[in-house]
Amino acid sequence: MRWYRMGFETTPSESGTMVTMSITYEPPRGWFYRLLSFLFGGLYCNWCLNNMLTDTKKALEHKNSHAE
Amino acid sequence: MVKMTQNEVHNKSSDPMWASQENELFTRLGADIKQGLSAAQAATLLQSFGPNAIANAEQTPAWKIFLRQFKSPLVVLLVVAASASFAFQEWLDGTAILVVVLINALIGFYMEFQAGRSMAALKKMVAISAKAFRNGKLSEINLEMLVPGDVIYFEAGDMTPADARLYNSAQLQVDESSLTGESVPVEKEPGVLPTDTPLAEQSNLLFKGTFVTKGNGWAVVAGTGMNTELGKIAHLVGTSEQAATPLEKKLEAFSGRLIKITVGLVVVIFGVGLIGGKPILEMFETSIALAVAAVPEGLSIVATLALAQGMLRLARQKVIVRKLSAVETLGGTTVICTDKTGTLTQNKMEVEALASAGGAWAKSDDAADLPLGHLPEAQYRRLLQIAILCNNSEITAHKKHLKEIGDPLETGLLKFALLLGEDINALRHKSPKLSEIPFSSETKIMATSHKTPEGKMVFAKGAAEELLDCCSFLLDADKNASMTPQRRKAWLAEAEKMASSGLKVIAGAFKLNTKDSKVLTKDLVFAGLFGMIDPPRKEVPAAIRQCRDAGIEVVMVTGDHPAAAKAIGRQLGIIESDDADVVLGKEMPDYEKLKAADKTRWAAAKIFARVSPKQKLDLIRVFQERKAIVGMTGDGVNDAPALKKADIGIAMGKHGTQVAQDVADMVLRDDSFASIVVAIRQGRVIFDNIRKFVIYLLSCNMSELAVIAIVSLLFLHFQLKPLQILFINLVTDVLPALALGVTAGGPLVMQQKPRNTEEPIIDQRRWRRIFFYASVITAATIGAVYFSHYTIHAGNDWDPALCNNILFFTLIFSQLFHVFNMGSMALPFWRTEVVRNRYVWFALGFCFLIVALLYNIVPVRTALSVSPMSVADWVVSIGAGLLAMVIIRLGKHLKFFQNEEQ
Repeated sequence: MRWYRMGFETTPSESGTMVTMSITYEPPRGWFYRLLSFLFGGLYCNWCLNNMLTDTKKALEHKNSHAE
Repeated sequence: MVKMTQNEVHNKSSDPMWASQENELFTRLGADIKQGLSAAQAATLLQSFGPNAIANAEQTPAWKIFLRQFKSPLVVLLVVAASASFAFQEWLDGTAILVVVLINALIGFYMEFQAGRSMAALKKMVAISAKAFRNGKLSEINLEMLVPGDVIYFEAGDMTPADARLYNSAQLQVDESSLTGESVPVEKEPGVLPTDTPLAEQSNLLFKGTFVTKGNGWAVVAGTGMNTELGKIAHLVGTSEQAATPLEKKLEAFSGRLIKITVGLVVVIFGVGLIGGKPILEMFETSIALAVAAVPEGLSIVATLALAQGMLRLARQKVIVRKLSAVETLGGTTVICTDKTGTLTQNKMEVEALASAGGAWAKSDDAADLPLGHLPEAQYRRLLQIAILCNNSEITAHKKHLKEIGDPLETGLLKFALLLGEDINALRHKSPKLSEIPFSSETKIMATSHKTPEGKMVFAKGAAEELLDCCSFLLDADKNASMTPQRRKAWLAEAEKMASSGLKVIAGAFKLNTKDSKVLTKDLVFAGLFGMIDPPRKEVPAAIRQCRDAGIEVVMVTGDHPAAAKAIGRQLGIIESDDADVVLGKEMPDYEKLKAADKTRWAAAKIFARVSPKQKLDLIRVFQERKAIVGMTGDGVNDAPALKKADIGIAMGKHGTQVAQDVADMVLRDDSFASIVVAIRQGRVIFDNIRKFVIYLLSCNMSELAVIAIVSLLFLHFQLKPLQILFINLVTDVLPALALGVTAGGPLVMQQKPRNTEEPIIDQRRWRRIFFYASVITAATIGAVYFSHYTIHAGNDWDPALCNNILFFTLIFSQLFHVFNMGSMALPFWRTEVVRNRYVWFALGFCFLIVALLYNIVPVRTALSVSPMSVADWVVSIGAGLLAMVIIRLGKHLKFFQNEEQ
């Protein structure tokens, strides 16, 4: 990836908070890297975002259990 | 507070819930109607009683879904073939066939399991909330968090979240048809009833799962989850499964017809093979393999998977589609009847203007320019009183942020009062409410009666035309003047003027009710007008243009003022000029009395104003008579009939009532019109993908049939082996086809006319295309064998094993490359939606890997009767496959038949 931007949006919901995360990016230069980006870029981004969400959730749950 | 289980609550006293005295029952339940439960109390009770949820019927376990895959008749055929192989001691063939059966079952299991998971994930997204009074504050919580002792508030359109005892109500009516079968809403009011009162007459109780149709009220929760009347019968009802969609039914019927045709052909091939002297076991296995390969038996489950995945994708884009069949219908939508407020506009109401007999004020950039300087104080104060007291919403400041609960119009009025420095809570405390006539879309007026320091007073607000009819006086300076017809006309004109500048106009009135009259909306004193701005959503004009390009009509149907509707309609591009026809509700006769000219006028009009929910229903009927596929938005409880009648009922998820959401086919989580267009686009894409998948599969299967039939009928000395047929079926049919099912839409999806929902999946035009594809692939496959023999192996004798291998691999490559022919012709090849679908490339890559493995793993190669080939033969095979693809694309380019985009 060259340039990229992360998006993070929270919305209150009945049972907590809805979080929407996104990554917007420019594909790389070079045909080989562009091909890799085409095939695997989306999967990699989804993996990153899922990990971020899961870690955030775990951190908040850990914090809440300590507060109790 | 004494901790009790649910049974103890019910059995502790000899008096049942409806017969107990309020104080006694509330003490038993540990309820405090002044403060509500604390967070700690609620948490403890939740631990004791569990969540307020009806236990779901058991989901089908995974192992049952897996076993179900073996119930297919074609699987039975394969097992018969395997048994026959074993009987003839063809151990390798028999084992290989069983492996194919297992792999097929695994693929079918995966698809069905994924579809089920998508549906389950969707159900979790539609969580219902309840308004609970806790820690002295009213807030919305997940319905599952309610516990006995909770104090709840509900109003028209809400679903009753739990069994509860009513202690305060205003004209409350509840639809209890789900419990009692009584279709007429039942009136509810507080009180103590005799012990022997039957369920249908327990008018002081509310029951989980029923709907509030009118009025509002407060109650204390007495039963939750399975300890409710609904819970008692839930185990009898079970969960309702999604019925098969029309598309699935069409595909099932289609598969059934194909099976019959294929069986006929296969019998012919079997017979011809025997006549040609082929061994009986080989012909038997070939016939069965061909029957299995030629019939795309996974069609309907793949369609289900595509629909379910489509629903999940829409959910991420804030559209919850509640029924699979709605995804299909979306693609054929021809008319969208949309609300204005909240759907086309942001529903962020702000007071921008005030008008009273003594003066007027309009918001300017000067923050110091307050209404008080423009209106006489008496009128200004009276208008603020109406804004605060004739109002059920709540607004609190929380860390520099305003938290709003209630209707956006009402919270807009409160925000205005707050910004002007009014102490809302103090005023409400000084003037407690005695009774209320809630707002209804029929009367368009809300009225409340209060005990104020001035005495008993009534305050009312609503549509100017309706409220002015209830006013006999006009507040002029600080005294009441008579409301003459001229004055009434002048105020209507003023309201029209404000509305034509795009403002939502609310009239305010009041009266002293010293005689404590129950008739609140008579002889009122007109106080003035509030002009509220509700800006249009930024994304809507582009969405409306998209609809126009897609051949979809957009019709605005609103309860608002016609001038305001027209102003917004012009702004958004729904109408082109101010001369456009606007149909008023009062000009709309009942459906039964409509003449042909009326129906023509309705069908042509783009704006309907001051429309009642019943008139929405009539409008849908008129459109449906003209064979339109109608999408209708709705948010109120009275919109339920229209939402059910429409082909696509669209409810608002943010500000819509639970009733509307429950009956609708689709729920917009952001209430935005643009989301409807997104959903329609997605519906078209999904259907296109399913069609691509079917065309691809049929053309591949037909080419296999054709190759075998031609070779058999011409008694050529090479033929595909049964296991090779099964291998092609498993490798080339499934993966690229599944990848096609998740293609993003082509560029012209929203530039085509809506699909005719009556047309078959594969019409004559598409059958011609399938025959063409299959013919080219067949010709390339058989042609490659001859080409190889007469060029690379010129002079040699025919080698049946080599011919077989070339036939086998050429067919594989032709079918793999053929997937690219499913792309749009509107774009260059390398930019079509299929080429840009990375899952297609993954599928092809995987298939090539499998082919490479099969060639290099000796036992597999032996089982599939494959022997080493020269590089030149590989070049011929791959080249023939590519040539088939090029010829097909050329044929589409030269328009041998009509393409989708024409």
